[in-house]
Amino acid sequence: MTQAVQLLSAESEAAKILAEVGDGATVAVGGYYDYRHPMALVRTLIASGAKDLTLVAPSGSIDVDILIGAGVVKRLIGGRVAFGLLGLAPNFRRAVENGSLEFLETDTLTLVRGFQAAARDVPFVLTRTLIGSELLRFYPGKVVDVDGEAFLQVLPIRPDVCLVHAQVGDRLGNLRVLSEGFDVEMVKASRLTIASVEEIVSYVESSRGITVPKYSRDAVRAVVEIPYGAHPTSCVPYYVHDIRHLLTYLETVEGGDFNGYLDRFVLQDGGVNHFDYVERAVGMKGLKKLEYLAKRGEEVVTSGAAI
Amino acid sequence: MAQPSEMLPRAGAASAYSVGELMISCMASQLGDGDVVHAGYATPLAVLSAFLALELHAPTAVVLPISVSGVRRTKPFPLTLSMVEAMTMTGGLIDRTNDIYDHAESSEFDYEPLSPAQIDMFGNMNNSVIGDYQRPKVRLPGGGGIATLGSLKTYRVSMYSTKHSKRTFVEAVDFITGVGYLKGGDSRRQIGLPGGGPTRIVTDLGVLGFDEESGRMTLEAVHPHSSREEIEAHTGFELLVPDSVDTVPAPTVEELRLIRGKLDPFGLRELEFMDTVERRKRIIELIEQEEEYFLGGRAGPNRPASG
Repeated sequence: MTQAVQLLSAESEAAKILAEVGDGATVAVGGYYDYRHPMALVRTLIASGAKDLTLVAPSGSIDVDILIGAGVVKRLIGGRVAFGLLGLAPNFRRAVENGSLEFLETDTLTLVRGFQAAARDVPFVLTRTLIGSELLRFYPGKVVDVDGEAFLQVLPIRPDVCLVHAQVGDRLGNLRVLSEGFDVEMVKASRLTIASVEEIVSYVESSRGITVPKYSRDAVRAVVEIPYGAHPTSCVPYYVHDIRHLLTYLETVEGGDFNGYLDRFVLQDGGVNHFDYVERAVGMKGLKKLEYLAKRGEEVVTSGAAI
Repeated sequence: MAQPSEMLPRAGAASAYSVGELMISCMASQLGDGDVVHAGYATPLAVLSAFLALELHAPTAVVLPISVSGVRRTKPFPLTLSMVEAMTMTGGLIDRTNDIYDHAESSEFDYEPLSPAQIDMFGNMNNSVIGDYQRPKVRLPGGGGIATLGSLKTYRVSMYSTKHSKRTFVEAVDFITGVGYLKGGDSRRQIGLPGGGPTRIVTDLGVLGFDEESGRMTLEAVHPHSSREEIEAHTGFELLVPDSVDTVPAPTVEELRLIRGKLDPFGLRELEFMDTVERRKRIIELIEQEEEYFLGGRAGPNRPASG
């Protein structure tokens, strides 16, 4: 079933699509570590008032933590939520510790195989993952014996909606992703994908990065141009992650003022405006620093110069 | 693969070095030429040891500084906080996360140093919870790669710990996120895992291994600043100790020159030894230094400002 791909130019259009994400839907969120999470779409999803979502996130940081804090997540299927060297994820931690969040904890490879099972439309794929781990107790797939070796039947994961932030996209719904993480498999497994991109081009070509072609069997794929749409996470080679803002987030939440963060950076005047967010959260000078660092990182490696 | 116990004291051994530098040298010595080394989230010591091996005795090793970025690298780069992703994505070979996982599932050359919160006497790893699983005292990041790698057939799981203590080395982990030798003996084989299992653990005090028959943790070598007695006093269970225990060789002058001058000029190797408060403070200083150096044309850590 092919449907027209929507070419959209403003975050308000993304808001219209996201407003249709029904309560209780399964939503997958792309990116990994502190890299390339679809943060503008995440903020829009919070503002849409969706609730009781099942969130699928192999490797989350601020994206998952902010959705949990905002109370839109009922259940999380994920591999890891953390802020790396900056510390543990405060809302995730509290919600699991006080029992308010249901967490199906697994590992990243099992999740990727689950996306593949969905994309291939098969009932399971076999892996060796989770055998011997106590996480197996909570995983719904069966363990089978093949000549004395145990394999896990990894069940398909089919998100209703997938949110990703890619470097480049086009009007046909093709995307190009660099620094992949788990996004490509996730997009292929999902019924609907909404991609924000740094740039919309006339036609995506396979240059640097992995192309995610739009296949005819895919459901709707919407592409929205939202520059800096991954901030405060990264989108190389455009900009690096904003460690200062991530620390501001952590310290605000740990200090008990998550709602203050939401009011200031997510729900401005009852709605969400991406460019207002960017101005408040980082500003032109800060953005330019993040952009230059991404460029300089490339130059240093290319030139091989000593530091 | 060179093992610490097989090494002779090296000519040109340095007299002054940090524990972090010693651990990098020691972890690098475990890598063989042609190995494929994965590094995960927030693990500077893992990346630096792989880069050091690449510079010295493992020139054809392949390093994945951010395993799931999808990029294989055969050349190191200077480690930074801001630009590690941008640098990883420059001049490497872009693969698919999916293909990297295929290889990891079947290759005997793939290797990853993990740093879980708890490790028990059979090398079982916990990075899920402290306390009860359903109502934990501390909810940790989660299964991530740990729950994957413990179960693989040939993948070489090694571990490291910057704080050899009874909190980390516990008789039984609170939760088995990633399986080691389970309950020892042939218990791993009995649940259908005929191969795999952890190989070695480098800590700030020494090097631990595993007894092939019983699966129990053994003491392999002590660092020059430590002793068998100190290691036993900081381990929460009885280690198997051979009659004579080797001393880990000090890093060489050449290794220190590479670590300090080329691979880690800003000193990220010390971050894993700090608590969260101290580490965040240091991270702010480091990103200021990185911005000054890369954007301001100021003096680098190892080089005076030119002109």
